[in-house]
Amino acid sequence: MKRPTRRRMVLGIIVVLAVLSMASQCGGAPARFGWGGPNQVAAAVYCGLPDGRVYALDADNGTQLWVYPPPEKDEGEQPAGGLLGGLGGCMPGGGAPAGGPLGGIYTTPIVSDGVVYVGAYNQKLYALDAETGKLVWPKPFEAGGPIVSGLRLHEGVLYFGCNDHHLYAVDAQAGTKRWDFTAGHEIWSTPTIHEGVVYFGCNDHKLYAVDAATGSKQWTYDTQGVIVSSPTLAGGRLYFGALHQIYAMNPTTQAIDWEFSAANWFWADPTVISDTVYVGNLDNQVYALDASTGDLKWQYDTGGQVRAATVIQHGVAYVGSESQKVLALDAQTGELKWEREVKGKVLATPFVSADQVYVTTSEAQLYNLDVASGAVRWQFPPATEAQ
Amino acid sequence: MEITALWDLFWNNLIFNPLLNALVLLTILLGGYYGLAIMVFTILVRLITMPFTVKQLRSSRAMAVLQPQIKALQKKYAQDKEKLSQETMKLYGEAGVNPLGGCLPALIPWPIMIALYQSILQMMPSHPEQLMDLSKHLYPFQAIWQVVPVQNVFLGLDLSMSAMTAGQWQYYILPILVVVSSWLQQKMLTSPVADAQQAQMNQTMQVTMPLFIGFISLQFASGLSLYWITYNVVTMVVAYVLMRDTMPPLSSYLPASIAAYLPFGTSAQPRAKKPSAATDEVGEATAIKARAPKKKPASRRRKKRRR
Repeated sequence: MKRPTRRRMVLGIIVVLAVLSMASQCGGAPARFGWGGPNQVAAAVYCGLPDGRVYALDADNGTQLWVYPPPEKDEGEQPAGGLLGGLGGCMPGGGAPAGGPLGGIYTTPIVSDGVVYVGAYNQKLYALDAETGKLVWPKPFEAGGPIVSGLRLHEGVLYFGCNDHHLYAVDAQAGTKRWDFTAGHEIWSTPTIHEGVVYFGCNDHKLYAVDAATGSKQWTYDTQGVIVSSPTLAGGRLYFGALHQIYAMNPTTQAIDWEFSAANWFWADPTVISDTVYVGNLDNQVYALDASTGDLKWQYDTGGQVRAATVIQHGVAYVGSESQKVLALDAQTGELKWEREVKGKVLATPFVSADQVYVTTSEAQLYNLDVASGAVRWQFPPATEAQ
Repeated sequence: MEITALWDLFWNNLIFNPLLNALVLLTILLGGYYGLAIMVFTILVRLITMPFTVKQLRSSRAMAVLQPQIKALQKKYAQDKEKLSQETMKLYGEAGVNPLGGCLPALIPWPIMIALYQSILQMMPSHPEQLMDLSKHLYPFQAIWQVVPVQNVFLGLDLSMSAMTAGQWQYYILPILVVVSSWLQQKMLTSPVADAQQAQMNQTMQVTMPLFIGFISLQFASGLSLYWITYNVVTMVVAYVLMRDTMPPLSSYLPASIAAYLPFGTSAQPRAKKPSAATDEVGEATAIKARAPKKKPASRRRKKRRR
């Protein structure tokens, strides 16, 4: 009876493996939650959370001032439930759409002249009254695809990229299109504007420069991979990440001054302060590079992918990580000053003021941390409600 | 390390990541056409796992042949379960059939096909978080990274879009083909059974399962439909080539009005069996008894030289 017994054992092992292989993939596919960061202006902090709504909160205590859309006015997609939702949890690329009423918010709100501007995955750009949260434009601006790129406001014009391969320039007052430019693929990179030129990266592996007034192409630069991060201009150089490399380019001649390679992709926007380039990588590291030569000054392992930009304030580098941590590092040495565990991945760029750090997480939480110690001052929604 | 983390480590490093990166390499070799890579890769993986499927099919057909005798035993020993069990096992032994022989081969390809299916979808991220997650699974070679994002458009369809999302009529063609190919495959490969109730259940499954799979295909990326169609067609072709001696002709699966135009006959009777090598499963060609050693003609026998 040895052979049948052995066969049953092998059969049992195979059955367990098959069940585990299916079970392990159920619910394991990354959901769409967006990575819009917070922005504090005066006494309020504005943010889009992964529940698909835009919030205005009291900056001191986290009390909700308003929310858009209000719960009684939900629009857009709702999560699929039942069998499809359950099956979708087992199937990457399918299943229940996440992101709430606005389909997910990847942009950090911009506030100017009492208006909050925010783009959403539901293909719309909103202008909301900063006091009341009501729509300012007659209707939201409709792009041709989901908006993943951040917004840039320059001289009364909002610039942003879109999944329909267009870069849009929208009048901030009227909410109407000034022009649009067609690139080769989805645009997730936030545009940077300098001296009348808009610089942005594209998923077609190119860096573009277009005229800010007319949208006419000035030049492109081919790289080896997708450019998701926003280019940063500092000291006469344009710094941008493409695939696993950081480039320092002369924007006038498109000559590359230096390149730095890491083990994975650069999706975080480079931050340039005091001749140092700070940039996170999907290899879990934060790098500090010499802005003139690209030499490595220090690096720090955060334990999770780093997609958010590093914010430098008071000689401290603040960075969020997929490892559900917010870290404060000495900007000169990379030494850890403090780290704070939060609920959810920190993929959005923190906002740092004189004494507070605001971060949003993938679990639809906004944290207010003490800038010196990382202690949680408040969180929204409050912990009891979140649990 | 937690058990789930350990399992993820095992699954990703040994099964999922190799398949995913092989798919990417194939995409590069095929000029960046991801749709073509899906089809070719599905064919290759299916061919590799096909022997297990064929073994399972042979086993189930062998079991089907024994059904009348098993029913007779059940009637005879209705009151004596132990005797029934003994006689049933004896019947299996005499016929050389292993009742579990089909289960094991049927399950072995499953983890591979699940990994293949996930690889196909992973390479068509529907939102930024998925593309970010993809970075954890691709091997650190620039040639592989440069493929991202893959060329999703194939035969005029964006393979990352589902029929429901796209809302255009041409996106419904693939799910329809999924239903048709799934139905045909089930019809071809389901073994006939003597039990009327079982037969009824099989018939119901032949209708409901393809419809269910087609419904799922409507919701998910079109690349998945391409995978399913290729999977079904390869399965049918290989199974027919290897087991056509025990199958009715192809035309019997189709309506007469369509079959009349086909070149491969309309008879519903299986072809005459050709003698083939011995197997231990009933229902295949009869075993050739062990050949007695042939004696060479006397003139050819070598005489041992004595020294």
